[in-house]
Amino acid sequence: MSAMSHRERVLTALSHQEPDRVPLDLWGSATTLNDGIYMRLKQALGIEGDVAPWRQGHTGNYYDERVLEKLDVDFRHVWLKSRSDVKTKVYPDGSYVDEWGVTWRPEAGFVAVVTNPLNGAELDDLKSYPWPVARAPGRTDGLKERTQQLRESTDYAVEARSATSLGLFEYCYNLRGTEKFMIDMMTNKKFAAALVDRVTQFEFELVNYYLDAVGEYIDILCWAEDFGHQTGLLISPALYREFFKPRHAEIIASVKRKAPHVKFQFHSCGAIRPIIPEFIDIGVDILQSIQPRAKGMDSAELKREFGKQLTFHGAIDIQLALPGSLEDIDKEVRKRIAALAPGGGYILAPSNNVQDDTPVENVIHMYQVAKTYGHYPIRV
Amino acid sequence: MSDIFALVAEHLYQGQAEEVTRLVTLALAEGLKPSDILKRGLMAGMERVGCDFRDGNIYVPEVLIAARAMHAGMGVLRPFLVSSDTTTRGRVILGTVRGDLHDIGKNLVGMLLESAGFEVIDLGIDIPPEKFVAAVREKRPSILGLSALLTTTLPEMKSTIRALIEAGARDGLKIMVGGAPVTQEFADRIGADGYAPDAASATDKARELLKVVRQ
Repeated sequence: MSAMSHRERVLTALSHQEPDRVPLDLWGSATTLNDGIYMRLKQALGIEGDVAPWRQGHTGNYYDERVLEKLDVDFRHVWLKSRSDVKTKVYPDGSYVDEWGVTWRPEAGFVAVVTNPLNGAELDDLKSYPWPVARAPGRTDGLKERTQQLRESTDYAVEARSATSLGLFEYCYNLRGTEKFMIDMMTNKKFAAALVDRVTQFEFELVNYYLDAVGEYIDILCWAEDFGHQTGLLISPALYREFFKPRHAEIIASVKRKAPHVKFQFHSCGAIRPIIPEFIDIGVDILQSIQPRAKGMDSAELKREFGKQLTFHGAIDIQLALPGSLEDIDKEVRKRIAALAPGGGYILAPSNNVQDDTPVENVIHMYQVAKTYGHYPIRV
Repeated sequence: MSDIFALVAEHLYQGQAEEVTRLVTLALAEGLKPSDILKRGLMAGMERVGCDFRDGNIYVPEVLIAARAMHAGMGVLRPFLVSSDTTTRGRVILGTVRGDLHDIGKNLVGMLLESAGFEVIDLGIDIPPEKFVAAVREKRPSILGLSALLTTTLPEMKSTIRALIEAGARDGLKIMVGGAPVTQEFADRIGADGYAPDAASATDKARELLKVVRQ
């Protein structure tokens, strides 16, 4: 078979057919390189000169196409910028207030929420709260031009990172307090529903604003939030169906109406198997993470059960394999390709963001062997 | 009359704080022993909550409202309990280590330990070794529980144990560690006495460490 273009490779995989080899992704939503590993990788790859960070206050604040080129990644990515008319307040200890009014503080290479502005609120307070504004100046500056250029002048698949870095559930519990919001969902349902609705309203507008700029030029739109931990779901399937499923469904339906060619990629960390059927139900095309060591997330089982309806994205274990030995990585890449790649419908990537304690040579090795073992027909 | 205990336990499991309060009040009015209401009603209910959470049958929200119902029941019951009823299984100090701001797991452990009859002192998050040492010296707990969620803050567990040894506060203390990146192997390596992978197992482990017989 003659070599496919990057985009052909990805589109073939997304249509559940076998391309020439398994497509590779890095630096989309939830598959970022954290700053430390990025800097070391850049050096190891012999890349000179710096790029400016595209955001601040997160664990991965850079995006460097030169790294993607060296690793032969099939995607390039676009994203929304922060609004330009409001300056983020940053405190001397590095804490800052996000556009939701939530304060974040750096902690040991990570960032954590330290205030919950709606913790003491009543239902009426939701009306007067200073909600973020979707259509604000600056967010889409240069975006249409960049995305168009990627589509028309390169052969990469174009992936739009999620409109916001977190999702409905997370913004609700950041605003309200995790424990309080979880209790609200059980015993103060009116408040919980009103809060999720208000957060959804912002996300819905923002996604539409985003697609106005990039819709015609992208192949994939990401969405990122988390419903699982290592051994189970954070909330019951019933609570997911009650509070989040209909609102996710609304957003996905809007995306499909506006940009029917775009595939919707949904990220969730953790042991989410019980709610995968719900995601399929509301039109998710690509499920991202497939965190292999989480309970119930056996790759081969997931492929058997859901492989016809979903494309899987990720699955390379970052908890033990990626920080391990080169042999561990070999084994891991072969295992995931063997389980997920046959028949297409698999895009290889780390299952979650690559952490700073990952050896640099491991990342390089992962992408090298992924190319080698990913040739179709799969023989690992 | 034993029905009331089962009812208390069931409504606690369902997180129905008002029902639990009502039933505890009723049980007291009927002359039932406060210590029985505590053990066979409230604690029995939370025991089931802990087991079902460990087994993945219920989730964090259900545990939180059950704990709330427990507190509500205790609010009514406490004035009627004599000191012998509340002799605790032991005093536990909990904290998330320095640099780490995560606490839900630790809070769940605290809730379940309290419901199992332990006295829990929660120091909070981002606790440096010195603060743990000071608390251990002052409060003389049977168990110290350390929590961490980040691989980057795990070393603080080792530092805390070292600090306790240096301060001469290690002997006679049982140290438990937990949190997503913690493993049995890590716990053994740093000289902890116990590790548990979740809040309910932590309660079992605490009992085991103090060799408490379950009632």
